[in-house]
Amino acid sequence: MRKSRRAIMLVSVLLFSMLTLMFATAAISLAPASLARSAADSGLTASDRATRSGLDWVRSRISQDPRWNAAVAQTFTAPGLYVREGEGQVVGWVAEGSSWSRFRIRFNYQDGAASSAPDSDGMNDPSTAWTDFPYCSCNNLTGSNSRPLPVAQSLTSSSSSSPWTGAPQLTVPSTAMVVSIEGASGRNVSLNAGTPQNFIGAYHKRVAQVVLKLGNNQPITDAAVMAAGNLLLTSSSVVQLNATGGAPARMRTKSNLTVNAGVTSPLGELMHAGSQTISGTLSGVTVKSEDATGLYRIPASKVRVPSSPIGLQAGTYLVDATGHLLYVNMEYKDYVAASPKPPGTAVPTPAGMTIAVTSGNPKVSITLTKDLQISPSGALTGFALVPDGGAPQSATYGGIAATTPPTSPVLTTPDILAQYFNSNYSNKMPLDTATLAAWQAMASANPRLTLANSSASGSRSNSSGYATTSVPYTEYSVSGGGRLLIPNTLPTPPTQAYIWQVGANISNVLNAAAPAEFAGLQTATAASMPAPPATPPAAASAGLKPKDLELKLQGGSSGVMLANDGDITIGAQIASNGSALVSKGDIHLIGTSTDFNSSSGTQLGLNLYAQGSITVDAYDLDATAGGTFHSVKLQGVVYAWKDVTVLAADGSGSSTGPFTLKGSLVAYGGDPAGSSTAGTGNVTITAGSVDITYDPSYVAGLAPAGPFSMKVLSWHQF
Amino acid sequence: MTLAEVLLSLGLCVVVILSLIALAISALRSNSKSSDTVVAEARANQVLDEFVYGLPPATDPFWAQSSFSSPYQQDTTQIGSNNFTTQVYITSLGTAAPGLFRCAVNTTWQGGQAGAAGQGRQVVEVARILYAQ
Repeated sequence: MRKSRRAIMLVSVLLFSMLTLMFATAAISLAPASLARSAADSGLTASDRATRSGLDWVRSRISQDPRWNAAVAQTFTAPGLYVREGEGQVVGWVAEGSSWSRFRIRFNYQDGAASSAPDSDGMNDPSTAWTDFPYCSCNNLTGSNSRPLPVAQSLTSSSSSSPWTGAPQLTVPSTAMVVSIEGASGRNVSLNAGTPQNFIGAYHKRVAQVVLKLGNNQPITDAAVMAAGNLLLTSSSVVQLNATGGAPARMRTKSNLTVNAGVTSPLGELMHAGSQTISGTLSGVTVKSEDATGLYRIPASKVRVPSSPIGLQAGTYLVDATGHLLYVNMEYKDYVAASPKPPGTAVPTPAGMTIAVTSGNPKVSITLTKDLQISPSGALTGFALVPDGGAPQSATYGGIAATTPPTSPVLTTPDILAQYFNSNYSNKMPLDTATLAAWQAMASANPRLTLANSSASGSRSNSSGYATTSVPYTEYSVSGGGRLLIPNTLPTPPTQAYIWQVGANISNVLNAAAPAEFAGLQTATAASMPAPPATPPAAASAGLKPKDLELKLQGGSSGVMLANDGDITIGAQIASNGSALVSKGDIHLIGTSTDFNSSSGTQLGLNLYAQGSITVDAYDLDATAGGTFHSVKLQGVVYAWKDVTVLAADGSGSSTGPFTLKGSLVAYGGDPAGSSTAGTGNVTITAGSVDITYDPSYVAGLAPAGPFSMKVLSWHQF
Repeated sequence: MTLAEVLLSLGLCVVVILSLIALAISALRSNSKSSDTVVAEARANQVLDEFVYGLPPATDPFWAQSSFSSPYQQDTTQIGSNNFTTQVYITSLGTAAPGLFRCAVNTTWQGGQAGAAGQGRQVVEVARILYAQ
């Protein structure tokens, strides 16, 4: 009995030890399970963040191009971010400390070769098919119809061409987008040259399917036509208003809206912040009396600058029938006012600009294949390219009035001197209102004259010319010696007044006169001369007309531009491909047809950019029966800080030309680096027919701040 | 019961108890670090969510900035016996896509019990990208 109890102690200890170890083992084996659960929670949370990162990536890409579907191969790298796009697949990596999380999105249904079938993805199968992520995305933001969205039932190819195997996963509404984002997080990632490639071992993932739509609270409501001031549309027929991809087509004004012939659109909106006067029938168009959002902002800094440009001096360039380029050192408005017109000096064309004479019509073609930068010439900043026969505009339709053909003789400096300072005083020409004003204008701006006395009086000797004593006169000191006296007013008839000079070389004075003032003196003197002109009148202009001259801006894929710090005036047919006119002043395209055609999606989408106003006047004054209007066709962006005026009809309907715009037209009403001023920046379009198609892709590359804000309609996660 | 039997039993008990203590300490330390990491990650995620929720609208000048103070935001919170410091860092990713930013939240804390040898300064980071809208 005693022996049998001896071992009980040891047995008890062993039993106790065994029980203790069992509890310890159980506790220790439970801990990893808890840790694994924590790790899983952490991984799923990281996956959630990755899906949200993917969604914001999509929003950023859509804000730049509403048709984005990752079809174009691109790689984006930045600290803590690596995104690879192409073939409709997106793979993005976001660094989190020493680990990475990943998002993936696929627009490629892997449904075979690119197809134009309405339900197809429109892409070839990718070089590496995704077999582990069956959920597809579909960008239908610009679609006017709903679209079915497949799901990859098979692990090899997600679906065959429509109809796909099996029912679509869901239907994407029109003007909406479904994004399927896989977010993943793992502990170990394989790297290649520092960029993540794939997860090593197990990883956690989440999938979110999000429905997006263009938001109503856009910072900028997109539109084909935007005006900070009034929007006036005058057409002989119903205005056609469309948009690419079935998107809403809008015209907006921050002020008053006037439409005279109705508007037809599949999905149109007319927005105005002021009053509206709409005549004619609206079909498919909603009128909204509100316009609270901003206009497209394309500041000067966003406009590309000439690259390795050729150069020309500012001034007026004439092109004659022999293909010569004649330079006149005058602003275009001064050239127009001059009569007779200065003939100009022949100048060589720079490399990259060629002039060809043809037997057909147009008779002369100017082709520009390199960027052209106009440089100031003294005080001249404007650039004009017109035919030598002139490019007149009718004052009725705005712009610079036509110049009356010269009916007076062309007077030289000696001719003028002979009239006013003839030694035979019986033949000395007295002043009249026009000649007195011409002399006063010439003298006030003449660098060789210095005002000595603005109201002198007293008798003057007839021996040096006669100035009446009955009116005060202005006395000028002449550079080089002598004086010139010009009456301030005309005396009461029959008393007459004359120009008077004392010991001065008036010839030098006249030669120093500004061209415009000298021309004024020529004109006034010739008109006052009683005798037949000493020089026969210039023949009626027989030079080229705008319809005879063509300016070809052949930019091709790299674009070409004509840039000037002053105004740009073109009096020629314009045929443009991928090119732009950029002015810090006004742009005038006058007297003939205009055809601009640009590429979308880049800065090359810009056609016309003026820090002043843009006027396209297609009125052809040189035609018979009062003239006709040519067509105006613009494909790209037309952008003015002030007004945009397009004249392709006279409003009466008797003479009309069509106006076509694909892209966008903006009269911002101020410097787009700041806010626009409502009420300034009018858009006036007068044409036989108006056909406007909104295409946001032209604007997207120029206004990348994101006019396309998105809102999330639904979020489904699994 | 012999003396040897008693000594053997006591020795066995001591070994078992010491092993248990060692295991318990190791498990506690490991559990403590794991718990702290989970708490830190949760805290970082919470700060990130709150930060994103409180972001201004796209028209705010905030989104026009190309650089931000570093850290952009910082605070310290005591959870349990540990002080967790969270720092928000914002980096413009304008070189990749306009209007895009990377927001990272670092949470740091001192591992181990106060007054005892610990694991040193611990840190976890969570991050996501943000688009201005």
